[in-house]
Amino acid sequence: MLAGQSGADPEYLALLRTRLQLDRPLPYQVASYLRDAAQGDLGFSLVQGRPVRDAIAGRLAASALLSGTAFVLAALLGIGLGVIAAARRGGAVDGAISVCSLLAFSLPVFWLGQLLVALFAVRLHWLPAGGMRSADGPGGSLDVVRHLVLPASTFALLLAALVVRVTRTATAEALGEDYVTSARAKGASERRVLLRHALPNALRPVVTVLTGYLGIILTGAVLVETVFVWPGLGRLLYDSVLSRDTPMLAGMLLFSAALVVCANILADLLYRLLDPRTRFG
Amino acid sequence: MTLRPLLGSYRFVLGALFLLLVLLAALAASLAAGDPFQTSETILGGPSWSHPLGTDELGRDVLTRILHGAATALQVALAAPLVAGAVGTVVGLAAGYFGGLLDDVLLKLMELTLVVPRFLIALVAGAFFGGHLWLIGAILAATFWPSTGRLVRAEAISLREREFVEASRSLGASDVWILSRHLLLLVAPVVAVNSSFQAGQAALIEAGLAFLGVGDRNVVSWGAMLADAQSYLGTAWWTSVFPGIALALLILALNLLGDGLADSWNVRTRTRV
Repeated sequence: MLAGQSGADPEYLALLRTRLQLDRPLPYQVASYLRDAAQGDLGFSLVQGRPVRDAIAGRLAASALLSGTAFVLAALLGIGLGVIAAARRGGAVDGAISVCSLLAFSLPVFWLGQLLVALFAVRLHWLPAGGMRSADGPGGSLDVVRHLVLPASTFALLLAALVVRVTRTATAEALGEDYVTSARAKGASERRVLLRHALPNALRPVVTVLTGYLGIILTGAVLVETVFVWPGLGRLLYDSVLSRDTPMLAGMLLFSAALVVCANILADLLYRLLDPRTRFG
Repeated sequence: MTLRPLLGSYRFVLGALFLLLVLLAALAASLAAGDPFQTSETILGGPSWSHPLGTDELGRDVLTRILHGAATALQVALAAPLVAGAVGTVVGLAAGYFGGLLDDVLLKLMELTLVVPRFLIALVAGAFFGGHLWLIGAILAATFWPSTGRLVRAEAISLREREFVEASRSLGASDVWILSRHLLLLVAPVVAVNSSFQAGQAALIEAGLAFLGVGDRNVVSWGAMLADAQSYLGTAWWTSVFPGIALALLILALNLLGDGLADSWNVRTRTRV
Protein backbone atom coordinates (compact mmCIF):
# COMPACT_ATOMS: atom_id res chain seq x y z
CA MET A 1 0.00 0.00 0.00
CA LEU A 2 2.80 2.36 0.83
CA ALA A 3 5.06 0.73 -1.69
CA GLY A 4 7.09 3.24 -3.61
CA GLN A 5 6.57 5.93 -1.01
CA SER A 6 9.76 6.53 0.91
CA GLY A 7 10.06 7.82 4.42
CA ALA A 8 7.27 5.76 5.95
CA ASP A 9 7.80 5.82 9.70
CA PRO A 10 8.04 2.25 11.12
CA GLU A 11 5.85 3.23 14.05
CA TYR A 12 3.24 4.63 11.68
CA LEU A 13 3.38 1.41 9.67
CA ALA A 14 2.86 -0.65 12.81
CA LEU A 15 -0.08 1.55 13.76
CA LEU A 16 -1.60 1.13 10.32
CA ARG A 17 -1.19 -2.66 10.50
CA THR A 18 -3.07 -2.76 13.77
CA ARG A 19 -5.68 -0.27 12.62
CA LEU A 20 -6.33 -2.18 9.39
CA GLN A 21 -6.16 -5.50 11.26
CA LEU A 22 -3.42 -6.74 8.96
CA ASP A 23 -1.77 -8.36 11.96
CA ARG A 24 -4.72 -10.68 12.41
CA PRO A 25 -4.69 -14.17 10.82
CA LEU A 26 -6.01 -14.38 7.26
CA PRO A 27 -9.11 -16.47 8.09
CA TYR A 28 -10.07 -13.83 10.62
CA GLN A 29 -9.66 -11.09 8.03
CA VAL A 30 -11.81 -12.95 5.51
CA ALA A 31 -14.48 -13.66 8.11
CA SER A 32 -14.61 -10.07 9.26
CA TYR A 33 -14.80 -8.83 5.65
CA LEU A 34 -17.71 -11.15 4.94
CA ARG A 35 -19.46 -10.16 8.17
CA ASP A 36 -19.18 -6.49 7.27
CA ALA A 37 -20.24 -7.16 3.68
CA ALA A 38 -23.37 -8.93 4.87
CA GLN A 39 -24.26 -5.75 6.72
CA GLY A 40 -23.70 -3.64 3.62
CA ASP A 41 -20.24 -2.41 4.58
CA LEU A 42 -17.77 -3.16 1.79
CA GLY A 43 -14.80 -1.53 3.46
CA PHE A 44 -12.92 1.68 2.81
CA SER A 45 -11.06 2.63 -0.36
CA LEU A 46 -7.90 4.53 0.47
CA VAL A 47 -7.43 5.47 -3.18
CA GLN A 48 -10.90 6.96 -3.52
CA GLY A 49 -10.78 8.31 0.02
CA ARG A 50 -14.26 7.11 0.84
CA PRO A 51 -16.20 3.93 1.62
CA VAL A 52 -16.42 1.44 -1.26
CA ARG A 53 -20.21 1.41 -0.98
CA ASP A 54 -20.44 5.17 -1.48
CA ALA A 55 -18.05 5.08 -4.43
CA ILE A 56 -20.16 2.39 -6.13
CA ALA A 57 -23.41 4.19 -5.33
CA GLY A 58 -22.00 7.42 -6.74
CA ARG A 59 -21.39 5.86 -10.13
CA LEU A 60 -24.56 3.78 -10.29
CA ALA A 61 -26.73 6.50 -11.85
CA ALA A 62 -24.45 7.14 -14.82
CA SER A 63 -24.11 3.40 -15.48
CA ALA A 64 -27.83 2.83 -15.17
CA LEU A 65 -28.53 5.66 -17.62
CA LEU A 66 -26.13 4.31 -20.25
CA SER A 67 -27.04 0.64 -19.84
CA GLY A 68 -30.74 1.31 -19.43
CA THR A 69 -30.90 3.34 -22.64
CA ALA A 70 -28.89 0.72 -24.49
CA PHE A 71 -31.12 -2.08 -23.19
CA VAL A 72 -34.36 -0.41 -24.22
CA LEU A 73 -33.00 0.47 -27.68
CA ALA A 74 -31.58 -3.03 -28.12
CA ALA A 75 -34.81 -4.73 -27.04
CA LEU A 76 -36.99 -2.63 -29.36
CA LEU A 77 -34.66 -2.85 -32.36
CA GLY A 78 -33.66 -6.46 -31.76
CA ILE A 79 -37.12 -7.92 -31.19
CA GLY A 80 -38.60 -5.87 -34.03
CA LEU A 81 -36.02 -6.93 -36.60
CA GLY A 82 -35.96 -10.49 -35.28
CA VAL A 83 -39.71 -10.88 -35.77
CA ILE A 84 -39.55 -9.36 -39.26
CA ALA A 85 -36.73 -11.73 -40.19
CA ALA A 86 -38.66 -14.73 -38.85
CA ALA A 87 -41.81 -13.70 -40.73
CA ARG A 88 -39.86 -13.41 -44.00
CA ARG A 89 -37.82 -16.53 -43.38
CA GLY A 90 -35.52 -17.38 -46.28
CA GLY A 91 -36.27 -14.17 -48.14
CA ALA A 92 -34.02 -11.26 -49.02
CA VAL A 93 -35.09 -9.21 -45.99
CA ASP A 94 -34.28 -12.10 -43.67
CA GLY A 95 -30.92 -12.58 -45.37
CA ALA A 96 -30.01 -8.92 -45.00
CA ILE A 97 -31.04 -8.81 -41.34
CA SER A 98 -29.17 -12.03 -40.57
CA VAL A 99 -25.97 -10.88 -42.25
CA CYS A 100 -26.09 -7.47 -40.56
CA SER A 101 -26.72 -8.96 -37.14
CA LEU A 102 -23.87 -11.44 -37.54
CA LEU A 103 -21.55 -8.60 -38.57
CA ALA A 104 -22.62 -6.39 -35.67
CA PHE A 105 -22.35 -9.37 -33.33
CA SER A 106 -18.72 -9.85 -34.39
CA LEU A 107 -17.61 -6.23 -34.08
CA PRO A 108 -15.38 -5.51 -31.09
CA VAL A 109 -17.36 -2.93 -29.14
CA PHE A 110 -14.37 -0.70 -28.45
CA TRP A 111 -13.41 -0.58 -32.11
CA LEU A 112 -16.96 0.28 -33.15
CA GLY A 113 -16.86 3.05 -30.55
CA GLN A 114 -13.62 4.37 -31.98
CA LEU A 115 -14.99 4.42 -35.50
CA LEU A 116 -18.10 6.31 -34.39
CA VAL A 117 -15.99 8.82 -32.45
CA ALA A 118 -13.68 9.30 -35.43
CA LEU A 119 -16.64 9.90 -37.73
CA PHE A 120 -19.21 11.82 -35.68
CA ALA A 121 -17.00 13.63 -33.18
CA VAL A 122 -13.58 14.16 -34.78
CA ARG A 123 -14.57 14.59 -38.43
CA LEU A 124 -18.13 15.89 -38.44
CA HIS A 125 -18.19 17.58 -35.01
CA TRP A 126 -21.82 16.61 -34.56
CA LEU A 127 -21.48 15.01 -31.16
CA PRO A 128 -19.03 15.17 -28.25
CA ALA A 129 -16.26 12.53 -28.25
CA GLY A 130 -16.54 11.58 -24.61
CA GLY A 131 -17.64 12.40 -21.10
CA MET A 132 -21.14 12.89 -19.77
CA ARG A 133 -21.35 16.68 -19.47
CA SER A 134 -19.60 19.56 -21.21
CA ALA A 135 -17.13 21.41 -19.04
CA ASP A 136 -18.43 24.70 -20.41
CA GLY A 137 -21.73 25.52 -22.08
CA PRO A 138 -25.30 25.45 -20.88
CA GLY A 139 -25.32 21.91 -19.45
CA GLY A 140 -28.70 20.49 -18.51
CA SER A 141 -30.33 17.26 -19.60
CA LEU A 142 -30.03 18.01 -23.32
CA ASP A 143 -26.27 18.18 -22.88
CA VAL A 144 -26.26 14.74 -21.20
CA VAL A 145 -28.40 13.33 -24.02
CA ARG A 146 -25.93 14.63 -26.60
CA HIS A 147 -23.13 12.87 -24.74
CA LEU A 148 -25.25 9.74 -24.38
CA VAL A 149 -25.99 9.21 -28.09
CA LEU A 150 -22.71 7.61 -29.17
CA PRO A 151 -21.97 5.33 -26.20
CA ALA A 152 -25.59 4.21 -25.92
CA SER A 153 -25.92 3.41 -29.63
CA THR A 154 -22.59 1.56 -29.64
CA PHE A 155 -23.66 -0.57 -26.71
CA ALA A 156 -27.20 -0.98 -28.08
CA LEU A 157 -26.00 -2.14 -31.50
CA LEU A 158 -23.98 -4.93 -29.94
CA LEU A 159 -26.86 -6.05 -27.73
CA ALA A 160 -29.42 -5.71 -30.52
CA ALA A 161 -27.37 -8.01 -32.75
CA LEU A 162 -27.62 -10.70 -30.11
CA VAL A 163 -31.34 -10.11 -29.53
CA VAL A 164 -32.09 -10.28 -33.27
CA ARG A 165 -30.39 -13.65 -33.56
CA VAL A 166 -32.21 -15.12 -30.58
CA THR A 167 -35.61 -13.63 -31.48
CA ARG A 168 -35.40 -14.83 -35.08
CA THR A 169 -34.56 -18.42 -34.11
CA ALA A 170 -37.19 -18.60 -31.37
CA THR A 171 -39.96 -16.99 -33.45
CA ALA A 172 -39.23 -19.17 -36.46
CA GLU A 173 -39.42 -22.19 -34.21
CA ALA A 174 -42.68 -21.05 -32.63
CA LEU A 175 -44.19 -20.51 -36.10
CA GLY A 176 -43.77 -24.24 -36.75
CA GLU A 177 -45.76 -25.26 -33.66
CA ASP A 178 -49.20 -26.83 -33.72
CA TYR A 179 -50.93 -23.97 -31.95
CA VAL A 180 -49.86 -21.65 -34.75
CA THR A 181 -51.34 -23.99 -37.32
CA SER A 182 -54.59 -24.15 -35.37
CA ALA A 183 -54.67 -20.36 -35.00
CA ARG A 184 -54.24 -20.06 -38.76
CA ALA A 185 -56.94 -22.67 -39.32
CA LYS A 186 -59.32 -20.59 -37.24
CA GLY A 187 -58.74 -17.75 -39.65
CA ALA A 188 -56.42 -15.55 -37.63
CA SER A 189 -54.53 -13.05 -39.75
CA GLU A 190 -50.82 -13.65 -40.29
CA ARG A 191 -50.12 -10.49 -38.31
CA ARG A 192 -52.16 -11.74 -35.38
CA VAL A 193 -50.55 -15.17 -35.53
CA LEU A 194 -47.13 -13.58 -35.45
CA LEU A 195 -47.67 -10.98 -32.74
CA ARG A 196 -50.22 -12.70 -30.49
CA HIS A 197 -49.30 -16.36 -30.78
CA ALA A 198 -45.71 -16.84 -31.89
CA LEU A 199 -43.94 -13.84 -30.39
CA PRO A 200 -45.01 -14.22 -26.73
CA ASN A 201 -43.66 -17.76 -26.77
CA ALA A 202 -40.48 -16.64 -28.45
CA LEU A 203 -39.72 -14.01 -25.83
CA ARG A 204 -38.51 -16.45 -23.22
CA PRO A 205 -35.03 -16.98 -24.66
CA VAL A 206 -34.85 -13.25 -25.36
CA VAL A 207 -35.46 -12.59 -21.68
CA THR A 208 -32.73 -15.11 -20.84
CA VAL A 209 -30.22 -13.32 -23.04
CA LEU A 210 -31.11 -9.80 -21.91
CA THR A 211 -31.11 -10.58 -18.20
CA GLY A 212 -27.92 -12.56 -18.71
CA TYR A 213 -26.32 -9.39 -19.99
CA LEU A 214 -27.85 -7.35 -17.20
CA GLY A 215 -25.80 -9.40 -14.80
CA ILE A 216 -22.53 -8.65 -16.52
CA ILE A 217 -23.33 -5.02 -17.26
CA LEU A 218 -20.55 -3.87 -14.99
CA THR A 219 -17.89 -5.52 -17.07
CA GLY A 220 -19.72 -5.31 -20.36
CA ALA A 221 -19.73 -1.55 -19.99
CA VAL A 222 -16.10 -1.18 -18.98
CA LEU A 223 -14.90 -1.11 -22.59
CA VAL A 224 -17.65 1.22 -23.81
CA GLU A 225 -17.15 3.52 -20.83
CA THR A 226 -13.40 3.57 -21.42
CA VAL A 227 -13.69 4.53 -25.08
CA PHE A 228 -16.23 7.26 -24.34
CA VAL A 229 -14.82 8.32 -20.95
CA TRP A 230 -18.26 7.75 -19.42
CA PRO A 231 -18.19 8.22 -15.61
CA GLY A 232 -19.92 4.95 -14.74
CA LEU A 233 -19.14 1.80 -12.82
CA GLY A 234 -17.07 0.32 -15.64
CA ARG A 235 -14.81 3.33 -15.58
CA LEU A 236 -14.51 3.02 -11.77
CA LEU A 237 -13.59 -0.62 -12.21
CA TYR A 238 -10.92 0.31 -14.74
CA ASP A 239 -9.47 3.02 -12.49
CA SER A 240 -9.47 0.63 -9.54
CA VAL A 241 -7.61 -1.96 -11.59
CA LEU A 242 -4.96 0.56 -12.60
CA SER A 243 -4.48 1.86 -9.05
CA ARG A 244 -4.52 -1.67 -7.55
CA ASP A 245 -7.36 -0.57 -5.27
CA THR A 246 -7.99 -3.95 -3.61
CA PRO A 247 -10.97 -3.08 -1.37
CA MET A 248 -12.67 -1.41 -4.33
CA LEU A 249 -12.08 -4.41 -6.59
CA ALA A 250 -13.25 -6.90 -3.98
CA GLY A 251 -16.35 -4.79 -3.45
CA MET A 252 -17.12 -4.60 -7.15
CA LEU A 253 -16.54 -8.33 -7.58
CA LEU A 254 -19.09 -8.96 -4.84
CA PHE A 255 -21.45 -6.33 -6.24
CA SER A 256 -21.34 -7.80 -9.72
CA ALA A 257 -21.96 -11.32 -8.39
CA ALA A 258 -24.99 -9.95 -6.54
CA LEU A 259 -26.12 -8.30 -9.77
CA VAL A 260 -25.94 -11.65 -11.58
CA VAL A 261 -28.09 -13.28 -8.91
CA CYS A 262 -30.63 -10.40 -9.07
CA ALA A 263 -30.72 -10.65 -12.86
CA ASN A 264 -31.48 -14.37 -12.57
CA ILE A 265 -34.33 -13.69 -10.15
CA LEU A 266 -35.67 -11.01 -12.51
CA ALA A 267 -35.52 -13.53 -15.35
CA ASP A 268 -37.55 -16.03 -13.32
CA LEU A 269 -40.15 -13.36 -12.57
CA LEU A 270 -40.38 -12.41 -16.24
CA TYR A 271 -40.78 -16.06 -17.25
CA ARG A 272 -43.84 -16.21 -14.99
CA LEU A 273 -45.22 -13.11 -16.62
CA LEU A 274 -44.67 -14.53 -20.11
CA ASP A 275 -45.64 -18.13 -19.56
CA PRO A 276 -48.69 -18.98 -17.43
CA ARG A 277 -47.51 -22.58 -17.14
CA THR A 278 -44.62 -21.52 -14.90
CA ARG A 279 -46.91 -19.73 -12.45
CA PHE A 280 -47.23 -22.71 -10.12
CA GLY A 281 -45.67 -23.06 -6.73
CA MET B 1 -22.86 -35.99 -37.58
CA THR B 2 -20.93 -36.12 -40.75
CA LEU B 3 -18.65 -33.66 -42.40
CA ARG B 4 -20.30 -33.57 -45.82
CA PRO B 5 -23.21 -31.21 -45.02
CA LEU B 6 -20.69 -28.72 -43.65
CA LEU B 7 -19.43 -27.98 -47.14
CA GLY B 8 -22.97 -27.12 -48.17
CA SER B 9 -23.21 -24.47 -45.48
CA TYR B 10 -21.95 -21.18 -46.90
CA ARG B 11 -21.47 -19.94 -43.33
CA PHE B 12 -19.13 -22.77 -42.47
CA VAL B 13 -17.14 -22.44 -45.70
CA LEU B 14 -16.83 -18.67 -45.36
CA GLY B 15 -15.85 -18.98 -41.69
CA ALA B 16 -13.23 -21.60 -42.50
CA LEU B 17 -11.80 -19.39 -45.26
CA PHE B 18 -11.54 -16.34 -42.98
CA LEU B 19 -9.96 -18.43 -40.24
CA LEU B 20 -7.48 -19.81 -42.76
CA LEU B 21 -6.61 -16.22 -43.70
CA VAL B 22 -5.80 -15.38 -40.08
CA LEU B 23 -3.82 -18.62 -39.73
CA LEU B 24 -1.80 -17.69 -42.81
CA ALA B 25 -1.16 -14.25 -41.32
CA ALA B 26 0.21 -15.84 -38.16
CA LEU B 27 2.32 -18.17 -40.26
CA ALA B 28 3.64 -15.28 -42.30
CA ALA B 29 4.55 -13.47 -39.09
CA SER B 30 6.75 -16.30 -37.88
CA LEU B 31 8.31 -16.96 -41.30
CA ALA B 32 8.79 -13.75 -43.17
CA ALA B 33 7.54 -10.61 -41.48
CA GLY B 34 9.99 -8.29 -39.75
CA ASP B 35 10.31 -7.21 -36.14
CA PRO B 36 6.97 -5.76 -34.97
CA PHE B 37 8.73 -3.58 -32.39
CA GLN B 38 11.16 -2.06 -34.92
CA THR B 39 10.70 1.73 -34.88
CA SER B 40 11.44 4.00 -37.82
CA GLU B 41 11.63 7.66 -38.80
CA THR B 42 8.21 7.52 -40.45
CA ILE B 43 5.92 8.54 -37.59
CA LEU B 44 2.20 8.02 -38.31
CA GLY B 45 2.93 7.66 -41.99
CA GLY B 46 -0.03 6.81 -44.21
CA PRO B 47 -0.25 3.68 -46.35
CA SER B 48 2.60 3.62 -48.87
CA TRP B 49 4.73 1.13 -50.85
CA SER B 50 7.20 0.58 -48.02
CA HIS B 51 4.45 0.50 -45.36
CA PRO B 52 1.29 -0.83 -47.08
CA LEU B 53 -0.90 -0.21 -44.02
CA GLY B 54 1.01 2.80 -42.70
CA THR B 55 3.02 3.24 -39.51
CA ASP B 56 2.02 4.03 -35.93
CA GLU B 57 3.09 6.76 -33.52
CA LEU B 58 6.51 5.15 -33.01
CA GLY B 59 7.05 4.54 -36.70
CA ARG B 60 6.34 0.81 -36.40
CA ASP B 61 4.93 -0.93 -39.47
CA VAL B 62 1.20 -1.58 -38.98
CA LEU B 63 1.08 -4.56 -41.36
CA THR B 64 3.94 -6.35 -39.56
CA ARG B 65 2.24 -5.74 -36.25
CA ILE B 66 -1.09 -7.02 -37.53
CA LEU B 67 0.56 -10.24 -38.75
CA HIS B 68 2.22 -10.79 -35.38
CA GLY B 69 -1.02 -9.90 -33.62
CA ALA B 70 -2.71 -12.75 -35.50
CA ALA B 71 -0.44 -15.26 -33.76
CA THR B 72 -1.26 -13.75 -30.36
CA ALA B 73 -5.01 -13.72 -30.96
CA LEU B 74 -5.04 -17.27 -32.35
CA GLN B 75 -3.09 -18.73 -29.43
CA VAL B 76 -5.70 -17.55 -26.94
CA ALA B 77 -8.67 -18.12 -29.22
CA LEU B 78 -7.74 -21.73 -29.95
CA ALA B 79 -6.10 -22.95 -26.75
CA ALA B 80 -8.65 -21.76 -24.17
CA PRO B 81 -11.78 -23.25 -25.80
CA LEU B 82 -9.89 -26.48 -26.57
CA VAL B 83 -8.98 -27.05 -22.93
CA ALA B 84 -12.40 -25.88 -21.75
CA GLY B 85 -14.11 -28.15 -24.29
CA ALA B 86 -12.19 -31.19 -23.06
CA VAL B 87 -12.77 -30.49 -19.36
CA GLY B 88 -16.40 -29.50 -19.90
CA THR B 89 -17.10 -32.66 -21.91
CA VAL B 90 -15.60 -34.97 -19.29
CA VAL B 91 -17.31 -33.24 -16.36
CA GLY B 92 -20.63 -32.86 -18.18
CA LEU B 93 -20.67 -36.50 -19.27
CA ALA B 94 -19.82 -37.70 -15.78
CA ALA B 95 -22.45 -35.50 -14.14
CA GLY B 96 -25.20 -36.30 -16.63
CA TYR B 97 -24.49 -40.00 -17.04
CA PHE B 98 -23.91 -41.01 -13.42
CA GLY B 99 -26.30 -38.53 -11.81
CA GLY B 100 -26.86 -38.64 -8.06
CA LEU B 101 -24.55 -36.90 -5.63
CA LEU B 102 -21.78 -36.51 -8.22
CA ASP B 103 -24.20 -34.62 -10.47
CA ASP B 104 -25.33 -32.37 -7.63
CA VAL B 105 -21.79 -31.45 -6.69
CA LEU B 106 -20.58 -30.89 -10.25
CA LEU B 107 -23.66 -28.88 -11.23
CA LYS B 108 -23.27 -26.60 -8.22
CA LEU B 109 -19.61 -26.17 -9.06
CA MET B 110 -20.45 -25.19 -12.63
CA GLU B 111 -23.16 -22.76 -11.59
CA LEU B 112 -20.90 -21.18 -9.01
CA THR B 113 -18.15 -20.64 -11.58
CA LEU B 114 -20.58 -18.90 -13.91
CA VAL B 115 -21.62 -16.28 -11.36
CA VAL B 116 -18.54 -14.06 -11.57
CA PRO B 117 -18.07 -12.54 -15.04
CA ARG B 118 -14.91 -13.90 -16.68
CA PHE B 119 -13.84 -10.55 -18.05
CA LEU B 120 -13.81 -9.16 -14.54
CA ILE B 121 -11.68 -12.04 -13.23
CA ALA B 122 -9.27 -11.70 -16.13
CA LEU B 123 -9.08 -7.94 -15.66
CA VAL B 124 -8.30 -8.17 -11.95
CA ALA B 125 -5.84 -11.04 -12.39
CA GLY B 126 -4.14 -9.26 -15.27
CA ALA B 127 -3.73 -6.10 -13.21
CA PHE B 128 -2.22 -7.89 -10.23
CA PHE B 129 -0.11 -10.59 -11.85
CA GLY B 130 0.57 -9.09 -15.26
CA GLY B 131 -1.51 -10.21 -18.21
CA HIS B 132 0.72 -12.98 -19.50
CA LEU B 133 -0.83 -14.74 -22.44
CA TRP B 134 -0.91 -18.11 -20.66
CA LEU B 135 -2.62 -16.53 -17.64
CA ILE B 136 -5.35 -15.02 -19.81
CA GLY B 137 -5.74 -18.37 -21.55
CA ALA B 138 -5.90 -20.24 -18.26
CA ILE B 139 -8.53 -17.91 -16.82
CA LEU B 140 -10.63 -18.19 -19.97
CA ALA B 141 -10.37 -21.99 -19.95
CA ALA B 142 -11.27 -22.05 -16.24
CA THR B 143 -14.38 -19.94 -16.88
CA PHE B 144 -15.43 -21.43 -20.23
CA TRP B 145 -15.70 -25.08 -19.22
CA PRO B 146 -18.85 -24.77 -17.04
CA SER B 147 -21.01 -23.57 -19.93
CA THR B 148 -19.79 -26.48 -22.07
CA GLY B 149 -20.24 -28.78 -19.10
CA ARG B 150 -23.86 -27.76 -18.57
CA LEU B 151 -24.76 -28.28 -22.22
CA VAL B 152 -23.06 -31.69 -22.29
CA ARG B 153 -24.73 -32.67 -19.02
CA ALA B 154 -28.16 -31.87 -20.42
CA GLU B 155 -27.41 -33.96 -23.53
CA ALA B 156 -26.05 -36.83 -21.47
CA ILE B 157 -29.15 -36.93 -19.27
CA SER B 158 -31.42 -37.36 -22.28
CA LEU B 159 -29.05 -39.81 -23.97
CA ARG B 160 -28.47 -42.17 -21.06
CA GLU B 161 -32.09 -43.36 -21.09
CA ARG B 162 -32.05 -44.18 -24.82
CA GLU B 163 -32.48 -47.73 -26.01
CA PHE B 164 -29.10 -48.11 -27.66
CA VAL B 165 -27.46 -47.38 -24.32
CA GLU B 166 -29.70 -50.00 -22.75
CA ALA B 167 -28.79 -52.44 -25.50
CA SER B 168 -25.09 -51.77 -25.12
CA ARG B 169 -25.33 -52.27 -21.39
CA SER B 170 -27.20 -55.55 -21.76
CA LEU B 171 -24.37 -56.75 -23.98
CA GLY B 172 -22.07 -56.25 -21.04
CA ALA B 173 -20.55 -52.89 -21.97
CA SER B 174 -18.93 -50.97 -19.14
CA ASP B 175 -19.75 -47.36 -18.28
CA VAL B 176 -16.44 -46.21 -19.71
CA TRP B 177 -17.18 -48.03 -22.99
CA ILE B 178 -20.65 -46.51 -23.28
CA LEU B 179 -19.37 -43.04 -22.47
CA SER B 180 -16.41 -43.13 -24.81
CA ARG B 181 -17.93 -45.11 -27.72
CA HIS B 182 -21.50 -43.81 -27.75
CA LEU B 183 -22.11 -40.65 -25.78
CA LEU B 184 -18.87 -38.87 -26.58
CA LEU B 185 -19.60 -38.87 -30.30
CA LEU B 186 -23.17 -37.74 -29.78
CA VAL B 187 -22.28 -34.75 -27.61
CA ALA B 188 -19.41 -33.72 -29.90
CA PRO B 189 -21.55 -31.41 -32.10
CA VAL B 190 -22.78 -29.42 -29.09
CA VAL B 191 -19.23 -29.07 -27.84
CA ALA B 192 -17.92 -28.05 -31.25
CA VAL B 193 -20.56 -25.34 -31.71
CA ASN B 194 -20.12 -24.00 -28.21
CA SER B 195 -16.33 -24.02 -28.51
CA SER B 196 -16.48 -22.03 -31.75
CA PHE B 197 -18.44 -19.25 -30.10
CA GLN B 198 -16.15 -19.39 -27.09
CA ALA B 199 -13.15 -19.01 -29.39
CA GLY B 200 -14.68 -15.79 -30.72
CA GLN B 201 -15.26 -14.65 -27.16
CA ALA B 202 -11.68 -15.50 -26.23
CA ALA B 203 -10.29 -13.42 -29.08
CA LEU B 204 -12.53 -10.53 -28.05
CA ILE B 205 -11.53 -10.75 -24.38
CA GLU B 206 -7.81 -10.96 -25.14
CA ALA B 207 -8.10 -7.86 -27.30
CA GLY B 208 -10.28 -6.14 -24.71
CA LEU B 209 -7.77 -6.73 -21.94
CA ALA B 210 -4.93 -5.46 -24.11
CA PHE B 211 -7.07 -2.45 -25.02
CA LEU B 212 -7.40 -1.65 -21.32
CA GLY B 213 -3.64 -2.00 -20.89
CA VAL B 214 -3.62 -5.21 -18.84
CA GLY B 215 -2.68 -7.57 -21.66
CA ASP B 216 0.67 -9.19 -22.38
CA ARG B 217 3.22 -6.47 -23.08
CA ASN B 218 5.76 -8.87 -24.61
CA VAL B 219 3.65 -9.76 -27.62
CA VAL B 220 1.78 -7.68 -30.18
CA SER B 221 -1.96 -7.56 -29.57
CA TRP B 222 -4.59 -6.05 -31.84
CA GLY B 223 -6.31 -4.69 -28.75
CA ALA B 224 -3.18 -2.82 -27.67
CA MET B 225 -2.80 -1.43 -31.19
CA LEU B 226 -6.35 -0.09 -30.98
CA ALA B 227 -5.60 1.45 -27.58
CA ASP B 228 -2.57 3.24 -29.04
CA ALA B 229 -4.67 4.42 -31.97
CA GLN B 230 -7.25 6.02 -29.67
CA SER B 231 -5.20 9.26 -29.54
CA TYR B 232 -4.80 9.55 -33.33
CA LEU B 233 -8.34 8.91 -34.55
CA GLY B 234 -8.48 12.24 -36.37
CA THR B 235 -4.99 12.22 -37.86
CA ALA B 236 -4.08 8.59 -38.57
CA TRP B 237 -7.19 6.51 -39.27
CA TRP B 238 -5.10 3.54 -40.48
CA THR B 239 -3.77 2.86 -36.97
CA SER B 240 -7.32 2.06 -35.84
CA VAL B 241 -9.08 0.79 -38.96
CA PHE B 242 -6.73 -2.04 -39.99
CA PRO B 243 -6.17 -3.75 -36.60
CA GLY B 244 -9.92 -3.44 -36.02
CA ILE B 245 -10.71 -5.13 -39.32
CA ALA B 246 -8.30 -7.95 -38.47
CA LEU B 247 -9.91 -8.51 -35.07
CA ALA B 248 -13.45 -8.30 -36.45
CA LEU B 249 -12.51 -10.74 -39.23
CA LEU B 250 -11.24 -13.34 -36.76
CA ILE B 251 -14.30 -13.05 -34.52
CA LEU B 252 -16.59 -13.13 -37.55
CA ALA B 253 -14.80 -16.26 -38.81
CA LEU B 254 -15.31 -18.08 -35.52
CA ASN B 255 -18.96 -17.00 -35.25
CA LEU B 256 -19.58 -18.10 -38.84
CA LEU B 257 -18.00 -21.46 -38.07
CA GLY B 258 -20.22 -21.80 -35.02
CA ASP B 259 -23.34 -20.89 -37.02
CA GLY B 260 -22.36 -23.23 -39.82
CA LEU B 261 -21.76 -26.15 -37.48
CA ALA B 262 -25.02 -25.47 -35.64
CA ASP B 263 -27.00 -25.37 -38.90
CA SER B 264 -25.42 -28.48 -40.39
CA TRP B 265 -25.63 -30.59 -37.28
CA ASN B 266 -28.90 -29.08 -36.11
CA VAL B 267 -27.52 -28.04 -32.76
CA ARG B 268 -29.24 -25.56 -30.51
CA THR B 269 -27.23 -23.80 -27.86
CA ARG B 270 -29.82 -21.73 -26.13
CA THR B 271 -27.73 -19.23 -24.26
CA ARG B 272 -24.26 -18.42 -25.33
CA VAL B 273 -22.61 -17.32 -22.14
